[in-house]
Amino acid sequence: MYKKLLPIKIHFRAAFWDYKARKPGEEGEYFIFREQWKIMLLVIVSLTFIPLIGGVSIYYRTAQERAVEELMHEAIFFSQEAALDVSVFLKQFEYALNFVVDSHGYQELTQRATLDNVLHNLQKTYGDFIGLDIIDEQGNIVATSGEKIDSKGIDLQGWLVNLREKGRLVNEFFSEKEHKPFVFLGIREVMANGSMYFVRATLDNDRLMLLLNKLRLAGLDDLYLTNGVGSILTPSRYFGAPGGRAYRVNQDQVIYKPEILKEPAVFLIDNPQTEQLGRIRMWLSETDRPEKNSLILSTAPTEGTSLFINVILSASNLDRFMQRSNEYILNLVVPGFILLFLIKCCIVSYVIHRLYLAEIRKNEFVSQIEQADKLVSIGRLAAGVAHEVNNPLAIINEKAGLLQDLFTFTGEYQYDERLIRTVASIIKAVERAGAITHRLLGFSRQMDTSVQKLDMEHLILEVLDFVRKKAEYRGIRITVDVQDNLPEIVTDRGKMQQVLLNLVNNAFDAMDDSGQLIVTSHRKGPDSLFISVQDTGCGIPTENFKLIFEPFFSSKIKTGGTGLGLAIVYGLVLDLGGIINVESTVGVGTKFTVTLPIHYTKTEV
Amino acid sequence: MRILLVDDEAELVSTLSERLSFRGIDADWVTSGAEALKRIYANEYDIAVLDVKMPGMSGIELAREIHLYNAGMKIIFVTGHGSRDDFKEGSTESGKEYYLAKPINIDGLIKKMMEIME
Repeated sequence: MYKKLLPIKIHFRAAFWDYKARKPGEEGEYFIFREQWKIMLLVIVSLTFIPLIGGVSIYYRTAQERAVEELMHEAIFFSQEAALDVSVFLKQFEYALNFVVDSHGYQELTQRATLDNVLHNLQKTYGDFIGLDIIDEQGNIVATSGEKIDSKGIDLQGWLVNLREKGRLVNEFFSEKEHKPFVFLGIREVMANGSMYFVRATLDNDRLMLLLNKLRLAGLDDLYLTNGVGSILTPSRYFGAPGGRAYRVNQDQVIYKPEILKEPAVFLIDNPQTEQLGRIRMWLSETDRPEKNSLILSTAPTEGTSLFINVILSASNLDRFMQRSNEYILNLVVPGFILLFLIKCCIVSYVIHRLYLAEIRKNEFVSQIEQADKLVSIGRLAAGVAHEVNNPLAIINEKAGLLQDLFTFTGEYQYDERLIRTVASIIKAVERAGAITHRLLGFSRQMDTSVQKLDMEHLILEVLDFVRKKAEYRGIRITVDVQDNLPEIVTDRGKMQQVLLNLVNNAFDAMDDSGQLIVTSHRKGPDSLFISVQDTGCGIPTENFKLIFEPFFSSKIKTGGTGLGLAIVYGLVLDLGGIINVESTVGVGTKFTVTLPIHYTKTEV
Repeated sequence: MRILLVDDEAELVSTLSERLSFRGIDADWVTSGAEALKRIYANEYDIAVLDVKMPGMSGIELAREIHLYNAGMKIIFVTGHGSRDDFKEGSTESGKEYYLAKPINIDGLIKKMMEIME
């Protein structure tokens, strides 16, 4: 059973691999099954692998796109989060300032000492406060405390216009002198009488820097602040020290103008190098896949301030997102493909093997038919010859008989014993020849089957006649045991003849010289009789009892047996309405018993 | 008892006739169906022994012709054809035909003829 399932032997050569035959209509021999195997495997593998590979590619592409999407969203997320954090951070100062301002009135604050005190108190909690200025409605600084920073380049009036409108303002200022940025925090206060004043606090950004550092450590390649015109306010890994520009104008178009951004935006920087940053362009969709060495820049406005958060992610982060798909493909898909391929090999091998078996069987069958055909021709020939021979035999017979008659009736030569004996032996020889021709003719008759009354003993003796000489030469004893008054049975003579002949021949083949053949026929019950053929041959193992009647099962294949003999017998017995069974002991002998109905019932086919 | 022997082999049928006459049986012989009919129309015979396979008119055809003329005539067919069991069968239209095998056993032939005449 195992052998049937996996015809591939250990060294991977199946039985059909080396089978050579001629293709119809072509010269020369081919490994026809080898070719078929290859073609079939190719077709099946292509048919299944192409869509599979297609599917996996689509999956991979989708995963890549998804990864790119995630990267884009991550960049945006980071910048948004950072912007929020910065906004919240700065709000603290605003609340603190509001608190102290509300605690004191305008008059108080305009006094230097109070202002100093207020600043001092603020600084106790927030070291970031450097200076405080009180500005009146007209825009004059009426009180100031703390460090004075170089106010060159600060457009105070413009700033105040904004502040008047918005109520609070946070913006930055880059001091050339100190070479670092400061943050201005402005609030508008409305007095009881309706007039207003402004408070401007100057903040150091050291703690802001700490916050930014902390944020960057969350996995960003760079994080820095810029202002509305793109000046760098905090150190950037890619864009350098504060004071520089954080964007390039690309020939005729400005591609990065943060002040128009209301929402976070993403940009791609292709081919960045440390010296000169590459091209910056807007990253509009996920189908625009960044190169491995590209950078992704995400800019987000910080609410309530003029500051922009910029985060930079390297596109190599894509690998992180692709990791799971890559693992999946490597650990699941590839082994899966290999396994599938092996399974396909097995399936194709199995199918080709069955085809091969069918071909072998067909060939055997064809040779069987050829042989049968030959036998038929020989039979006809023999019948023709026998018939022809009978005529001259008859003449010899008559002439010899006449001689005898001449001796007896005329009295001449009746005392010549030698003459008489000679004539007698001629006649005897003619009888023998006649028996032979009759046998030949009787045998060729079996091809015409006809239902008739059959004397079983007669038939048995007739069939045994054929093998009598063979038995004599081989020293095989033949015993016939037919019940007295065995009823004549109505059956198909030709078929019965063939059944018996096959069984007897098998018995002979099974036996060594000086064995014994016993043919028995007795009545069995009121309606049947049996014929059994028993030999003292090699026997049949019990497990083969059913198999021997299968077509092409033969223990004589090496000697040219075709394995069809018993299969034919089985079919014939069925046709005759009977049953056949076998008893056997290995090394002792075998007995086939055919049970037949006395009255013919042809099984309907 | 008068017998007519019909067989295309002259040697056979002439010798047979001679042997029969040794045994006191009167047997004419001819070598074709046509001749046989001529004889039958001309003479009276009790039994006709016919070879089944003959060129021209076969034994079976001849038998039919004979029966058209004389339905009561007995026929014995002789044939070099087939095995012994064919004779038991002797399937015939009238049931009045008998078979013997070649080579002919003369005693068997005579015995058969005696049987028929009864």
